[in-house]
Amino acid sequence: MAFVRKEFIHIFRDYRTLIILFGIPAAQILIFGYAVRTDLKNAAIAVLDNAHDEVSKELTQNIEASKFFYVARQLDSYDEIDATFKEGKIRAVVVFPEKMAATITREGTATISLIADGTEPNTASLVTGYINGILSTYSASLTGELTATMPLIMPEVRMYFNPNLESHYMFIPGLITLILIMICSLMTSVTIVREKEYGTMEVLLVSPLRPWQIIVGKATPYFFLSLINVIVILLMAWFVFGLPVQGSIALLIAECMLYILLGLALGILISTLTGKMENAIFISFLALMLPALLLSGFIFPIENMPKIYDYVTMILPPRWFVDVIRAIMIKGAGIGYVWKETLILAVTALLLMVISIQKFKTRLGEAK
Amino acid sequence: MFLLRKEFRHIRRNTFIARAIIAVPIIQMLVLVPAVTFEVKRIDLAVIDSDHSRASRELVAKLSGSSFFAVAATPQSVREAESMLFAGNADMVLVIPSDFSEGLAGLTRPRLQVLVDAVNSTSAQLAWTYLNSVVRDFNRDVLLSGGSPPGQAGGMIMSSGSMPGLSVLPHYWYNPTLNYKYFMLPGILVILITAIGLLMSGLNLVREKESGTIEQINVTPVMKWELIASKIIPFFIIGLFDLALGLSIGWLAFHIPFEGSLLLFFACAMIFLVAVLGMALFLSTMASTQQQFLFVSYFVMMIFILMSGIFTPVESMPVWAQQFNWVNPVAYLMRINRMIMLKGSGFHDIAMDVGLLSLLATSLLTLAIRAYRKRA
Repeated sequence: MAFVRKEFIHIFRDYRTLIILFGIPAAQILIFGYAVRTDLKNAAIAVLDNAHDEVSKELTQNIEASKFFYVARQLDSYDEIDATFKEGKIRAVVVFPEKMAATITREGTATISLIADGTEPNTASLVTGYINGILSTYSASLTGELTATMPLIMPEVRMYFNPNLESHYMFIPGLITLILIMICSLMTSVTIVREKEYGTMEVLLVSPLRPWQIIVGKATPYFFLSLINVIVILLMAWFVFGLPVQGSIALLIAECMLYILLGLALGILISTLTGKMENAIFISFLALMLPALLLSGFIFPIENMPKIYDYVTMILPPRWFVDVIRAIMIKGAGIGYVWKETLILAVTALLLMVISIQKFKTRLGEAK
Repeated sequence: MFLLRKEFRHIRRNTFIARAIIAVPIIQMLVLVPAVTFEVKRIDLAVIDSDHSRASRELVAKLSGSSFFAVAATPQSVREAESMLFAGNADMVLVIPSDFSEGLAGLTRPRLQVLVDAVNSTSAQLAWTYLNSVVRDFNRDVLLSGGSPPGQAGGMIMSSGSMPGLSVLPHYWYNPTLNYKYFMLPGILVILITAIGLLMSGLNLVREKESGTIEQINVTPVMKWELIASKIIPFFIIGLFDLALGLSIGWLAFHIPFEGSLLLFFACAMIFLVAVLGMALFLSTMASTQQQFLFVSYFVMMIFILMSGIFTPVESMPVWAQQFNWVNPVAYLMRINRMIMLKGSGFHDIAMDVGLLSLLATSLLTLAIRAYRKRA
């Protein structure tokens, strides 16, 4: 079809669009894979040692030796803590009590204060957890076999699907979701609105092409580009991060196609709603990007949000798609586990397509 | 200045922009701030109890009694439980072995198996930590009721959160309840003014280029700096206005503390806006259509925001990423905002950041003005 070819030529002629089309996904994967890490490494710790005995020295060394922390500063008094935190480099201060070694020999226990900078809650709880771990290892060496003879339950954990707790297991499905909705909805709506602004749309409308043919012509190139993007991301996930698709690849691609159709329909719908390109851009940006990024459960799990978000996010297709793609890619689930989400996506896609073609027709009527 | 008046009139006339200026901060603040949290509120637990003893029921009761766990199901087999993990009906499976109560009596060493859905590594880690602490409490109760001499094992375990010997008493300063909103709100304010500053001003510039009206201005005797100033100043003011609006919402709706100096806060935001607007101007010279601009700026914005440490600690990033943040204006403001708002840091604490940010702002603006050709 000549019209589809025209659209392809438009896209390929503009190398900048093309670079962005493929540059964004690649950069996003690298950033999420390497730079945005939720674990803790090299946190700066300060020590306020009121004890100055062998126990406090050994503990300081143990903290220093762990890969999570380095002891950046020795404080002399409690009053320095506030100023230290205000400079913003130190994450936590470990305060050893006076005469700690003596207290341990006499009473068997001693209490160490850990003052953490609570402005980053996640980091603060991780720091507390790791320091606790280091100290309890030390305690265990103090008390020796005492613990071994006690009847204790020791829970054993098996981390399913992601044994090493890598954060890109969570990010890559999210990225596919995000990139697809961006390319499909944003790019199609913007190209259609641009044709309208330049007046070339009128030329198309008076041509013998039927409205659905125009829509198909507009959407086809983006359909294929999106699909190529999906494949590139999957290959990168596999070869760069060692994250192969656990489930059926055919099913995964089919689900992606469904989602791409949904995105394209949404893009066309957006373009018919607004007249000005700027509006199209703004609506797409606000309506799609931020919610897709933050409300789809891509970074922040939906269960943790207030209850109402659970209901509100139900109308967002990315939410369902993230679930589907995670289930197939990482858990290796089959269609039996994701049929409900698939059905929701299919119905939404169909609905959006019908509405957008309807809208497109009425606009044609006005144009005449 | 007439050009400036023209720009303001354009903005006022475009009802969509006018509405966006008001609506975007409100939506971002009210919708996103409560949503972005790693705090685990509820973990759906599936329990396979092969022991059916008083002790095992007590452990389950203890778990469901804590605010984190909810017993969602009691599957009969591990296979059934696994399929619940697949379907996402359970976040965690607890397998209580049949020798559980015998083990508590000291006859065997029972293995309490825990299967966690670890797709989201952060949640999985937190869930595992919570479970561990409940089991630790349970152990302590058993020891106490078992009549262990309090001076030794039992007593020490009770007094420590972890193991006998040393105990850790954590305090969280500036945010004692580890409220995630306090952490995210300053960050979302930064996203807000970045998005407004970069997108609105850049799109405005490219639109004039696209519709050809820029040529008309170019042939007038207007100086280059006048033109640029007229394009930048309105969005500078809009950015500050939105920051103030966002901050008031944060204060009214979320009672976010503001420890530091408002003056310093806005002064830093102004420097930052200069940097962002310079960037918008620079990017707009490279793009000839709004679509191109949108994609390039989205790309830049995304990288800057994600690398700035908005969600994750900067020191966990690899060295190249930390070095990149030297030229990332968003990273500076992210840090400055949190320090001023939550800790009340003063100018001498952030002087280095402010200095570097100013340097960055000046160079970005200079670069943009150089790159801008009045007669393109």
